[in-house]
Amino acid sequence: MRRLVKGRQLADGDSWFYVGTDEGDPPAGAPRVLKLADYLAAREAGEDATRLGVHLVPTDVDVSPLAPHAATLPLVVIEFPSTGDGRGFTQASLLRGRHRYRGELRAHGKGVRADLIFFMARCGFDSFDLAEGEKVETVLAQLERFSVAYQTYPDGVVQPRHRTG
Amino acid sequence: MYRYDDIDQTLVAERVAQFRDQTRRFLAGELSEDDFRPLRLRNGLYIQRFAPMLRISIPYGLLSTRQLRMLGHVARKYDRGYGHFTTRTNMQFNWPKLEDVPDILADLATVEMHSIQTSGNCIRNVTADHFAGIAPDEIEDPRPWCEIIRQWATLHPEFSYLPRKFKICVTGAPVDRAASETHDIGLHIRRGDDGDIGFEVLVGGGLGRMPILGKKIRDFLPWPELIRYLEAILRVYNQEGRRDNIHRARIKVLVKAKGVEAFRDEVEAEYLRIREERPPLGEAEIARMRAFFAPPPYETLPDVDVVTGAPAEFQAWYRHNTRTHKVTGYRAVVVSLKKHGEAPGDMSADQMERLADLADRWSSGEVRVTHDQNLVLGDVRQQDLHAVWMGLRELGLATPNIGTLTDMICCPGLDFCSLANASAIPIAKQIQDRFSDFDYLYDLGHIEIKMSGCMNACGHHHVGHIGILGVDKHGEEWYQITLGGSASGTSSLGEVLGPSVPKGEVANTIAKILDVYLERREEGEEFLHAVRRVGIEPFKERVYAAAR
Repeated sequence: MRRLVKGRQLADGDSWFYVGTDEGDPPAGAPRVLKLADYLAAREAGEDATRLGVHLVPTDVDVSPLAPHAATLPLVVIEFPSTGDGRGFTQASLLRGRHRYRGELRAHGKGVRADLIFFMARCGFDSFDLAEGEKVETVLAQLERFSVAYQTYPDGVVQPRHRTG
Repeated sequence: MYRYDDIDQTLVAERVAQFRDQTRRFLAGELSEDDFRPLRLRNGLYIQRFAPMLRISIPYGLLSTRQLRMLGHVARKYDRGYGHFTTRTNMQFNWPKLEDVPDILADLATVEMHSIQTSGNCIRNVTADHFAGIAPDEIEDPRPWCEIIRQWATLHPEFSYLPRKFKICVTGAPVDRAASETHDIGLHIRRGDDGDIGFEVLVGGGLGRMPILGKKIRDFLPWPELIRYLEAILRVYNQEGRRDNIHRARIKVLVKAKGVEAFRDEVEAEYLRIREERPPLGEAEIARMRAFFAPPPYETLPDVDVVTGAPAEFQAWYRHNTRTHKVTGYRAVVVSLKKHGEAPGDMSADQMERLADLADRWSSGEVRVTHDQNLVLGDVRQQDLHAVWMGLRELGLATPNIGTLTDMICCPGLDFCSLANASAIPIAKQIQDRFSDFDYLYDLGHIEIKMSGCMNACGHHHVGHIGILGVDKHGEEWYQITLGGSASGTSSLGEVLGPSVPKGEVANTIAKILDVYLERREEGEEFLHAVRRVGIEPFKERVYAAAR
């Protein structure tokens, strides 16, 4: 069961089906999240852009193939397989900063832990599939953890104060 | 020096609150040991052989006397009355209690200090030349640039979970006094054709299991581009650095695997993209930073002869422990933390507090930490040198051995560190005991011994003129000797002399090496140059003669 934090609260539910991750077959008509190559192929085949999301894994270093779809993509899920693997921070920063992606950016995987949430939010993530055992209130508290920051980043959910001038 | 504003102070306070919460969750069982480890490491907290070890950041080695007194307070209140300076110019405490650490960090925050990113796979403390701002040969003070890098690197949203640790060093003089070539990124300030400054950029240096010197990827990076270029390097590394093997995860492995040209091309391409997206550093920001490091108000003084007629002991101290200052009438004083019989780099709370008093009275109220584990009083009037010497001597901080054999770099080793394979401090003592005659040390001249208790090379043994590496052989401590390493001028990695020697034989082995040097040296030839000229063979023959 997915526990999705979105808009600073636990979401009621989520209709997206992660192909290759979620168990069973997608419910009829459910919007699907595909791995990068499958997504690109599906778009090539003319599938409805509004019903397709993409699921990036850490080895998808080059996210530029998504650039042409940035305006129509509703959801990008970025995998954090462990708390030590920080490649997802770069993928998110590039999507938000370089490719102007404005849809939902979701962190997923065992690495989606409370103590990384603030960095994730700063890189532009706005929703989080919590890792197993992670308490919602602990996670939400981390979004308030820092009110200041040195770097200018996509942010969004959190908006730390920067030095001006 | 740099002073915190509201942004800096708030960030450090919020960091303390974060760690207090993380520690509470760990102690309450909400965070497992595995979950807590990367969090505590990013606050410099290790679980060591006997107790936790806390590493406190000293950005580019610069301390105000207020901060030094606070370190003394921490040593006294939370530890066993002393601390240890490291090759990253940080301070380590070996005996704090885990549950006290949030309070220690809160105390440190009151004097604009922290332990952020002193460990873990993130950007570590930025280091610089310990004579920054006062060296006669300096092109420009590197410290404003270090502070800009420090702030950029602190809690970086994208680069806080790198494949491995990442070390950056900035030098501002033609001579490298900060071992910059052993860093993941070495930045050398250079003056461009138009008179404006920029950076020579080296990448992929590092010691440890795969020692390698940094490779140049840029002759001259104009200063406004500094952060954009660093971001490009870090981004390529974060994306492509290996994460499958901790021993292959440093950027040096990536640079080697790709080849330096291909790596450089990738960085340059990413840098050009970043240029389209982010502004360069502004004139106002660097002007703001430079103002923090403006020179103290020096008096107009003549150079004074303080040596003639002075006691021989003072003369020796002056010759070995003081350095030329860029301002006439002043000198820089190296405070020796290498007193014979003491662990190199250790300092007691009492010494910290009283040295702070000396620095306030006789220097500019600042103390610098060197990467070879000594301290520097940067701005001493020549006419006050005798008084400073008396004060230091009283504290046991005037051992006239800077640059000599007993001015060793030494990691904590097996006595404290849970990573170590062998002890280091007892070996340092063995060497101090064996070579205690100062006339002999002075005759030997400039020799750098660097010693590590394991392959991680915190003691920089690869770049010691004489390097000593502790190894474990079937539960016994043995020591591998290397010769001819150097981290300044023409840097080089030492060559392994031969099979490792038993613990009791380290000083004897060094004695044989020194004998060969004394026999073979040419007029005025330093040890390192003699080794480079005659090669390692004569040393090898002497050391292993009996065994053949």
